[in-house]
Amino acid sequence: MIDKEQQLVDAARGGDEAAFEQLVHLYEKRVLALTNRMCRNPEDAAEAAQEAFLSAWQGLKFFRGDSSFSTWLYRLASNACVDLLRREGRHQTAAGPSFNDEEANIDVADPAATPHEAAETQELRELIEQGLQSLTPDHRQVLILREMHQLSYDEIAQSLDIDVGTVKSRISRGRKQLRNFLIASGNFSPPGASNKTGREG
Amino acid sequence: MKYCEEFAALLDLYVDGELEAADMIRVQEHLDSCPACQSYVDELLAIRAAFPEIEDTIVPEGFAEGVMRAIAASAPRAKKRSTATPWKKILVPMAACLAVVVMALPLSGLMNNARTESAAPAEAPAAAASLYTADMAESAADVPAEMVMEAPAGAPAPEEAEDIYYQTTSNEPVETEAVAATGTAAPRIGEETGLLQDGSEPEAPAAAKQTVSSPRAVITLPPEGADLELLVGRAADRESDGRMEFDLPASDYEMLLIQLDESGLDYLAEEYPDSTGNTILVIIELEQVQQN
Repeated sequence: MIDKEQQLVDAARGGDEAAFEQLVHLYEKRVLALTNRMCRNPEDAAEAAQEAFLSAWQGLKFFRGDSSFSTWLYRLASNACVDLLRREGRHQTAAGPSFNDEEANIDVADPAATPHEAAETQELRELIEQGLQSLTPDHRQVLILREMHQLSYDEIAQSLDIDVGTVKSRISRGRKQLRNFLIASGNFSPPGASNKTGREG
Repeated sequence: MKYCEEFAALLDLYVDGELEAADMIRVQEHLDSCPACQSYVDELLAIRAAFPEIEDTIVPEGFAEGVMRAIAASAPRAKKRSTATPWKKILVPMAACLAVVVMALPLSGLMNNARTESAAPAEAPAAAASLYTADMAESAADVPAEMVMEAPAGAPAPEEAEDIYYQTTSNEPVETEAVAATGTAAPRIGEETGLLQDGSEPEAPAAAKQTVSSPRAVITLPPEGADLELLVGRAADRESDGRMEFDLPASDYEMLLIQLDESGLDYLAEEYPDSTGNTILVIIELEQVQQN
């Protein structure tokens, strides 16, 4: 974990709201990226992102910091997406493409936080870019459509004129290839967060 | 890394939100008790969080300009290499392209502020171009000439030249009625939102030039034009002081333009789509025309 982030986490854990707010700014873009691509309905994505941070605030005292804070936060975010389904009992719909995060955007990471965030994310981002180049075109293509353009499986299938089953298997294989590349590079291994992630039952 | 058979196939669908609610919940519960699956999900989420974003895409400088050049180069009848005044009309799309290049980077942010009607992001480049076309239309004349694709040389009468551009573009099959109606000079850019119609060129295509009604087109060439394959060895149909005239069948027009392109000669092309004739008039100016 980066020092400054560690400081913020520690401070927030002690009840420092201002510190937590900085953490929110640090991570909001990435958390929204996550929820946007998992909920695929901008309103749900925004709500889930907020829930994720709320859970993080409430659950910080249980977070021992022996794993990556980001991993823990991302897990909260993905859980928040699913929890929305529990609460509202509705099916996931491919409710139209969510083309840009700005529909659900709360705020762009404030400039003060950006250099800090940039360093950490930038490294991994560059690694991912390299990794993408190492994939076969078929696999690279679907991952980009899914992760960058946020197309649903159906939309990808239509775009590429292939069937959804093919999309599924290409995404799955592409991800595994990318994962292997990243792990092989030695710079990637999000340790599992050790505690339960405080989601709704 | 091994993970359970049963859920392995579902994990990608899970992070992509492609499962039904009940299955999403089921997988989530499984993750609580399966470190292997949880680990895989964690990794996917981390990749997602750091994945390159569209907004970070680097657009090569001059990209849109290059596109417009290629488009113009591929148009069969848009060759006016030796015109002076119509630069203003040509500069409009060029200026718009420049604006597109300038704005290309924060493009997705632009979408929310765009005044255009076409809100679909897939049309973002075109929409952004339209957005700036109207703005740039007025200042088009200020854009330096080097932005223009084709260098002026041996300009004929400006009046004629303007008509050429209008008439030529009005022949483009891609154009909407907006362009045809106003005869404006940026068909593809203005197409999307009709903005260009409002910021349309101040001068209407002068019908006055369409005095020669029978030929479908009139091509004026320098003396070297006589060496073109279509013309070489062909007797002029008319000769007068300083010029030779040929009447070619209209079916030769495309080939003529191709040969002209290949020759690199400067020429003037005037087209008369309303003409009922079926010939092309080719004029070879035996004295170089210079009007600067």
